[in-house]
Amino acid sequence: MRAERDVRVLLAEDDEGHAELIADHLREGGLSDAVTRFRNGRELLDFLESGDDTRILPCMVLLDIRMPVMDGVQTLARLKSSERLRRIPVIMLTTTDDPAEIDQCYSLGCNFYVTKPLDFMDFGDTLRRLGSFMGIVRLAEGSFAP
Amino acid sequence: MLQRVDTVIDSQVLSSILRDFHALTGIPVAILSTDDSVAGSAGEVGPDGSLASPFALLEDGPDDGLRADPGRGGCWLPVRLDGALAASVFCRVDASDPRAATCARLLVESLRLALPPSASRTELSACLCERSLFFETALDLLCEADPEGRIIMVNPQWERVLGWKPDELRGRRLTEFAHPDDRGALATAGPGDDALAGPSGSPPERAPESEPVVRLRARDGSYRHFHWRARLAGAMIVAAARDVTERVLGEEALKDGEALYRSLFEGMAEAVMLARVVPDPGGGAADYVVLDVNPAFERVLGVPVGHAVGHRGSELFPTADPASFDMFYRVTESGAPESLELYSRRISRHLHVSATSPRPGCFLAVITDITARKRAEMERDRVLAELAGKNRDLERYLYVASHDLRSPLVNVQGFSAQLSKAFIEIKEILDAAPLEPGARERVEEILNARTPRALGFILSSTRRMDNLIQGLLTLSRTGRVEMSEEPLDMTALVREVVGTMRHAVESAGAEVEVGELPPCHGDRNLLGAAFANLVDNALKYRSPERRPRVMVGGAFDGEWVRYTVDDNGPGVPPEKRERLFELFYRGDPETKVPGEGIGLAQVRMIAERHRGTVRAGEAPGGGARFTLSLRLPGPPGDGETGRT
Repeated sequence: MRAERDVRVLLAEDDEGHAELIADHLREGGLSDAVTRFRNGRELLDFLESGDDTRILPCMVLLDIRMPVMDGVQTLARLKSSERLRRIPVIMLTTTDDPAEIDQCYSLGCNFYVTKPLDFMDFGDTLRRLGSFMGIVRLAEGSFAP
Repeated sequence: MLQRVDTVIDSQVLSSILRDFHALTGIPVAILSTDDSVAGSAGEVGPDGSLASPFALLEDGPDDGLRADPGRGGCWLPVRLDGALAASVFCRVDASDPRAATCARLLVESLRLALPPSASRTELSACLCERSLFFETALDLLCEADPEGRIIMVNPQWERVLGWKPDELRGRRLTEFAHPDDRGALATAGPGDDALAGPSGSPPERAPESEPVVRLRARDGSYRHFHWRARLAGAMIVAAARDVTERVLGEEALKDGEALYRSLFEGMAEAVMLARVVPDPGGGAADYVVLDVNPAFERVLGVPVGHAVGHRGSELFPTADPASFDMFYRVTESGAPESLELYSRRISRHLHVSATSPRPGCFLAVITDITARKRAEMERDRVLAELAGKNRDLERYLYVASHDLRSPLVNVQGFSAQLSKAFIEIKEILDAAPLEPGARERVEEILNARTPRALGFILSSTRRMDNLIQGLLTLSRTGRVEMSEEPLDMTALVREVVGTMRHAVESAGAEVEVGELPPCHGDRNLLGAAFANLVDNALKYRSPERRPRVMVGGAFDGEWVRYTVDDNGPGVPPEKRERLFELFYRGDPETKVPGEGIGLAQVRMIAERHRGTVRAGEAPGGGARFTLSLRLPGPPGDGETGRT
């Protein structure tokens, strides 16, 4: 659990409730201090593109798909086409499990795709395991890229 | 040795024969009796018919051949009856002249006919005829008649062609056998015509240039067509008839056929143009010259007939699609028919042009105005595209709506779960805290009964709502997913689908039988989902009294292939059979059967995406039967493709 505390989570989510529920479950998974929330993909990219590399040091991005201004798929495409940002792990969050959409996200380079479940107990568990996985990878490779 | 035969010829008849003969042939002629006395003469033989001296060669002539007599400047021919010498004919003509033999023979025939009955002239004729191989074997109908036109002798060809036996003809007038309209033609058929027409009259100056065609009556009453040639030979008419019936009928059929084609050509609604190709020496697109067009040509193309014929295609249709010129040239070169569709800007019409090459260097084009059809097709395509667009929009709305509907549900459920946890914490706090009497009972009632119950309703409702939305999403996805159609072994596919349902089949204690199914063409995933839904449906709606039994079968039916899924459940009342396929329809509202009423709606959508149908009916034995009908793939290029 110690390793996960260092992972900063950047969450782009326009729905207040969803953001809070996600944050709650991340907190339960031990990632509470490091969750930063953005209202859309544009805000997230502005944050990542404007600062120095400390901002992209151990972090992972959670992207809602349907968002105003810039949606999750567009944001994913921008992240993965940037030489500097492409290694940040990206988890897509969506309320649907449309196979075409899943295929599109994976082809753009997303690392994981999570359907927003109604049972957040499972969701918290998933994220927790994901966080552990990333911590292990980071420790093993000295990098956060899977 | 020659045997002398006494014969008597009436001197007047003899003189008449000789005169006619001389008039006809211009050949001087004399008849010598068997005692070498001159029986008669005509022409320059002698003013009184006398000859200078008897014929020394008369006695030792071995046969009937024509003999030259250079001393007298002519030739002579013996006349025989029953092999005995009857008379000699002297003609002052060169024996090598082909006319000589013919004329002499004609005269001999005339003499024979002029012989009195005692000389058995009929027998003589018959004898002569029989001896004549030519007469026997001739393909023409040959006939000898007396000057009255009464038949004396016919050859066997008469019977073969017309069915008349010689005995039936002998003694009857030839005109009796001619078609009433052709009796005149029979009478003008040669120098003998007057004799045929009647006993009097004078011979015509010359024969007609070509033989008339006359119809002669056969024994069965029908008529056949003959070229007819008749000549007077002395006192006898010799006639020949050549059967030309087949040719005449063929010509008539040809004329009829030509008339038929002409009327077709004139009357058809399509424009027809016959033209000759003019190759371009420069190697460019060929031109053509119009040879003939039909009246529809003007109606369809707006070019008057008189203006079209004789003109070049490039002058008449300067803006025509060069493809038509190229096609005409190809068709004329190869002879293989071709057709194309084009749009004429000049007349604002769509045209179908087909071309054949009826003879070298020419082509025949049939031009049909297909504007109405083309416009209907374009309108149909526009409506179909609009409909497809609307369907796409609807499915997109459905998708967006279900997505957005689900988003608040996530909150309702997520925060309800948080509330549940919060109440548990409150309860733990209150359990440890001192409370006034009465207050603890109220708090416990709220925290142990009312709150869990309220949250239970909230959670079960959100779950149900989530299921409904998932159903909508599934349906929307079924409508939007890109189809990949391929030939499918349906027996294998459906058995595979049923295999994946083993758990459901076993827990229902059911028996599922998949027969040999006809193959079809479609999307593997969608059709698999359709059968999974139908089988699942059959397992769910089962009769409590019986072990569930599901039968999947199929057969070709015309251009359709029909698959059936039969069960032994309670069946579906006829009034509910159509509603079954509506979204969220669940039949009996009190049913305990799980589900949201999505499956059959999805089956219908899959059927429709395959241009097919699904219907509910009754299975043999009273259960439900679902029939999924799919169209067999049409011939290539029929333009019908799946919606994608």
